[in-house]
Amino acid sequence: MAANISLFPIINDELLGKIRYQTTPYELYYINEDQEFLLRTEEIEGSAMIHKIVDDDGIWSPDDFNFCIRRKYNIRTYQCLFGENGIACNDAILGIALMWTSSDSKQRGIIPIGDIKNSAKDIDLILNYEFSKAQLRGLIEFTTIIYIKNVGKPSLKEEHLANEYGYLLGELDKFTIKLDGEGSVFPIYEINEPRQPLWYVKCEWDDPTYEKFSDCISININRAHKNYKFLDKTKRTFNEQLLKEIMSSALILIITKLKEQGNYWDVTINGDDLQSGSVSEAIYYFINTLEWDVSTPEAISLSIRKFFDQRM
Amino acid sequence: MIIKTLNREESQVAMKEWILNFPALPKIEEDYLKIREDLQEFYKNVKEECNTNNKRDYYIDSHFGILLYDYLWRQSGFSLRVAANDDFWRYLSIKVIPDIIAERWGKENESHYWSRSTRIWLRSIWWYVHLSWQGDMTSTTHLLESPCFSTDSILNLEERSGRKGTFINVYRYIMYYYSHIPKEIIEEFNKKINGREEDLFRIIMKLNTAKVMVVDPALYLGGEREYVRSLFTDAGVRV
Repeated sequence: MAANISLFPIINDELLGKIRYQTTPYELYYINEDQEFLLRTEEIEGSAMIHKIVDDDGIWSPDDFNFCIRRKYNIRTYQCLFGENGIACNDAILGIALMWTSSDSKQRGIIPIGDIKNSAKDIDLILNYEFSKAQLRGLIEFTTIIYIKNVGKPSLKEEHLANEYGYLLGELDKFTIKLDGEGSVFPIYEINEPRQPLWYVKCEWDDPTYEKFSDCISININRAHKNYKFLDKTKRTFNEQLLKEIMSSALILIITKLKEQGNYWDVTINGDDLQSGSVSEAIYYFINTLEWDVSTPEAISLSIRKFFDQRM
Repeated sequence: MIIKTLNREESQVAMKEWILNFPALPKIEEDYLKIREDLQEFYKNVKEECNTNNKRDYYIDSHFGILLYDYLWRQSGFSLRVAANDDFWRYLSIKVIPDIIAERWGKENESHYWSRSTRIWLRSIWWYVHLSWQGDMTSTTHLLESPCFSTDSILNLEERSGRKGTFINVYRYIMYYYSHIPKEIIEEFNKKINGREEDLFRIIMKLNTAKVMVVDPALYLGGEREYVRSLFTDAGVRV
């Protein structure tokens, strides 16, 4: 999937700066016997984007209680959004909404927050929304979006502007919470398969940009093999270098396999729209954060081995 | 019911045990024994009722699916959050009714038991019913019995949902409108595009994937219902 190219002007950093869009932080709480109890959010280590929910009283859990979100919005100089240099016709009405998406929950939705009419008034809006008990799991992403609530009559100079009900005109901000979930577990398994080699890799993906790395890849270490003793961490024969070699070879194989899938490889390299935790996201991370050189097979082999020697 | 789960590693082990001890069923606790018996009963009845050899698999998938769907909602502790948890489906598949999965897919078919999320059979038929739900059992069963649906529909609906979460209502309307198109119109449409590996259902799905990039269905004028109708209109079919 290529990056989305918009056919009409949408909100950009320059416009976003002009409208002086301000919000309070998200406030999370739950309701028990008609009473509100505040929950705290905390950044998950190594990710400024993703937050976990903490209940200091230790009562709340996603299985047993609802959870609610509340947030206040203030927008002042938004008139620049209207007219030929903006994103909507002068007499159109824009809407602000919160889009929540969760592939882990297999659900998504839209919560309207308020309207922006072309006037001089300051706009103050409040979002307050309840998610049912045991409705959601895993990661949930909240994106504040702006859209066409009501179409206008475009003047001659406004014909390039979006003017269809519901058209999305850009994102104002993003916030992600994690209700539960496995950390990033490296998918190494021990198997017991006589007459099979000491180790092998399985890559079973249809769409690597979407499917989870830990779900469709497995590196299998065979206990039934006579040389397993070199990989058994409880034995004195354990040889760390052999384990590193296996990991390196397995990762080279995985990267090479993805590289053979031209379209998916391009998307992976660009890092566009990759599902959190997916094969492509992991490989994007290897390349961009860990700086593995994937230009040629030799380069991959060398940079991965350097990495394991330094890190393990 | 206390929700039980198997993660990938536990599934791998449990699957080996199941194959090794086949056809003995795994030992489980009392409340799950009851669930096992009930589901076995459903499966047996569905098989007996099925008097067609044509689309037999679809008959079983959809009818067993709807019974499973209704049954699980009636268990305390079951929720959407549970239904979205692959590890719950893994437990149900390998520990509770591995015999039924074996009958449908063979006893060693790992991907339909646990290894490929989108292929775990119980998960896939439960969500197929959820995404087709029309408010009650009778109308949903009626919809699923429409001749335009097949095991391909289950695959298409399940495998295309995802990425950033599923537009549940959109799928329910797609199923509704699609099932109401006369057979001749679908056939005529599919004949027109003959040669390409496509049919109307898949084209609607693809149009949806493209359209949600620019407009959120819930914000469309007239909401999700009108949004879905517009997909059919875009494909050149009136609904």
